[in-house]
Amino acid sequence: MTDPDSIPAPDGPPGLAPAARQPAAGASRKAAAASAANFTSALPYLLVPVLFILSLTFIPGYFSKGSIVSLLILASLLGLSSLGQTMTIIAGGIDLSIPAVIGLSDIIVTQLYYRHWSLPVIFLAIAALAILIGTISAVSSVLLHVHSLITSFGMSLVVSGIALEWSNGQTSGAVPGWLTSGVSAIGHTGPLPIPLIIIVWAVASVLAVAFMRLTRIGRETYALGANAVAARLAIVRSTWTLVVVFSVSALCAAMVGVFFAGYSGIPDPTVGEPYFFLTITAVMIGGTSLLGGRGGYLRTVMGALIVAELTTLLVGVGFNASFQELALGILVIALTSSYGRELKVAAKI
Amino acid sequence: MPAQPGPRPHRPWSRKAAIAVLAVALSALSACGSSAVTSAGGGSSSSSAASSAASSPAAVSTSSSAAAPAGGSNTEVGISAVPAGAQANYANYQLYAKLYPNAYQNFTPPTGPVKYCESTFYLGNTYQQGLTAAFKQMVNQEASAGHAQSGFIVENSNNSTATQVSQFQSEIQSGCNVIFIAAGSTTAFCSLFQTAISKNVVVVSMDPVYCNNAITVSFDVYENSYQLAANLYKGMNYQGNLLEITGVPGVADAATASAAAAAARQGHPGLKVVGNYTGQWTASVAQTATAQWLASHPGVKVDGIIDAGAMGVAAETALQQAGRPLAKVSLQEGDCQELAFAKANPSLVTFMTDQAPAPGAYAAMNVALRILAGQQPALDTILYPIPGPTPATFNQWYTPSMTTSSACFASPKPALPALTTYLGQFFTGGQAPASFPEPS
Repeated sequence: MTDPDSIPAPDGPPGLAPAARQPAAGASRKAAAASAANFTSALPYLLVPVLFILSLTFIPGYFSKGSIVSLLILASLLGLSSLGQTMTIIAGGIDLSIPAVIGLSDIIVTQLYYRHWSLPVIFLAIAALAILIGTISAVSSVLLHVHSLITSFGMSLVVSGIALEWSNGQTSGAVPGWLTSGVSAIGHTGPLPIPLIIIVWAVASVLAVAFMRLTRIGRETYALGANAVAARLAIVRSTWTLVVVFSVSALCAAMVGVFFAGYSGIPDPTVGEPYFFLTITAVMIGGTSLLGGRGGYLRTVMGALIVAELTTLLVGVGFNASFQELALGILVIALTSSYGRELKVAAKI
Repeated sequence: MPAQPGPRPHRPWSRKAAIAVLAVALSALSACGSSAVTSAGGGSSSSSAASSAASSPAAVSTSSSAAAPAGGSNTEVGISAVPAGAQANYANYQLYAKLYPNAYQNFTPPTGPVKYCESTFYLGNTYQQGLTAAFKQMVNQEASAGHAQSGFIVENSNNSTATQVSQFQSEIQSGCNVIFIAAGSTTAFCSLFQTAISKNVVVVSMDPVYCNNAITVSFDVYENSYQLAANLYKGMNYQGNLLEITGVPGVADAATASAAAAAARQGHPGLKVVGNYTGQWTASVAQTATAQWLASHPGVKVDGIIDAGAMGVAAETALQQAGRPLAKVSLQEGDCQELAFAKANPSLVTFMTDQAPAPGAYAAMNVALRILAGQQPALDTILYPIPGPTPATFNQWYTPSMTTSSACFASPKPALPALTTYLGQFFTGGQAPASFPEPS
């Protein structure tokens, strides 16, 4: 069994920094490399306040509760849907079924509530379905010896087909008022003047970071992503780990689907489509390596905030959708090129 | 080979030069992007492309003619070919469609039950699904009456024009007598249309195509968009701030709708487009984009919403969720949520049309049945006035079960009699069918 302490911690322990482990070619070069690595690592954390200050500077009246809460709602939707994506990527996989699960969940909650089902039953049904979808993606990846990119994409098509067949062009739906309020900038959570989704995201973020850092399965996720063969030799429970990770991903997507039902109020099987690339973008901008084994959800939280802030800033100064995508693309290339300069964890051990 | 540890070597000068070139290229791309951007705080024009299209229809027409198809006829006819009673609906047809002469003079109607088929480039949204469902209902009615073969063949290319061409070809070969097509291209099917008519297959296109041998049955997107915008501006007393939510960038209908909205604004300096962004004809995208716009424009009042389709209620929801007052809007889908919104906010909805799939399917089937009955169309491009509820007829569309959370479409029944009468004036000769099947 792999000693959990030898598995790289979420953001990479100092002991694994390349410069610190390599033969010294010179003290100054070593220090410069370490300094560059630290700067790269800190970039997402720096960009969040920088973009906020830029928004305050260029958008008149931006420092208002309405604007900030609206920004956080959009970031929450992206951040929650990226939570599971972060885990699957750290485990060396990827989940392409997230948009489809969001759409299916949106359809289920709006249609069943319209048919007067009780909300706890609806939520249980959605959760069970999400776990089933995640389990199938993970187990089929293990059994068929194919990358989860393929199995989750297959699941995406299956789930989309179910959602479209269910909606069938003639759909009616309804959502409870508290759910709509939970994603509204003027919504409250009990006495707190903050919409529910922001609180849910904050709690989920703390739990996700703790889960990845403190639990055995969290450490096994890093081990699996760092080197799947070595992890199996070290008796890491790879199948179980993948099942948990993909189930968490589907559960998060389903949760976002429920919130989207409150947000737009209509049953729409395509509501998750923008999240096909956005979840991966948030993970990449945050600095989690697409190669697996490195990164963490706190970074993705920063990534989601950066995407939401950058888009809002560009809209605020008058740039259209094409330019927003262009700017996001440049940011992804710029940031990932600096992250990508580090070696894969497996190559460093 | 194992990765070599150690600090990265210095980049050679050639790599640094390559990176510099890449950076310059990206900057140039950025500059191009920003030059095409519409100013959010800018005056009354919505976009340069739109303004250009609005001010120079001739240029649009010439450009379209340049895309002459291979294999199909591109001989056009003028407005004089349109029946006098319908010419008002063709006022700006050059901005949307081309007019082609009747190609069915030598058509021989099939004997026995007719085989109906559909070729579509996309079935992933409720509109396209609704269209197919309406065709199925009508074909089933024809089959029950012994006029059609049971079963309705549907081929979906899932956004691939090449696949759709292949599927369309196989439908011709498999003996379909009537093919309804939602074409993924205006020109890619032209040679196949020629093949189809030579095999006595009636092809009814629900979008404009730039060649003959298929009959186009559609409403005029430019005219409809113009009417929606003009009524919105009138409802605003030609004063106030507008949000313009456009369709998918790069798609012809989106540019046409923008051009129409811009043309209707001309001469009204009191109207100001304060925000212009894409909602991609998708409610959730439009709502998110509107929420983003509102968050970044906290002090800007919104008086009216130019909705390119299916996004108006979503934008209103975003306004409501941001704690802002609702704005005036013209709605064009005629779906349940729009009708429910109009019922709850009659003073905000300045104009409504019903672009639901069922009336469109009905019009296409109506034309096909007339041709099968031996009637001859005056021309091959039939543009019909889009139906819609007025304050007097609103309750024919609306039912109390509709809510702003309903994604259904209203019953098409109120729209059908007027459509039948309108389409009848395009046909001569033969014996018009005594009745037409109706979608529910």
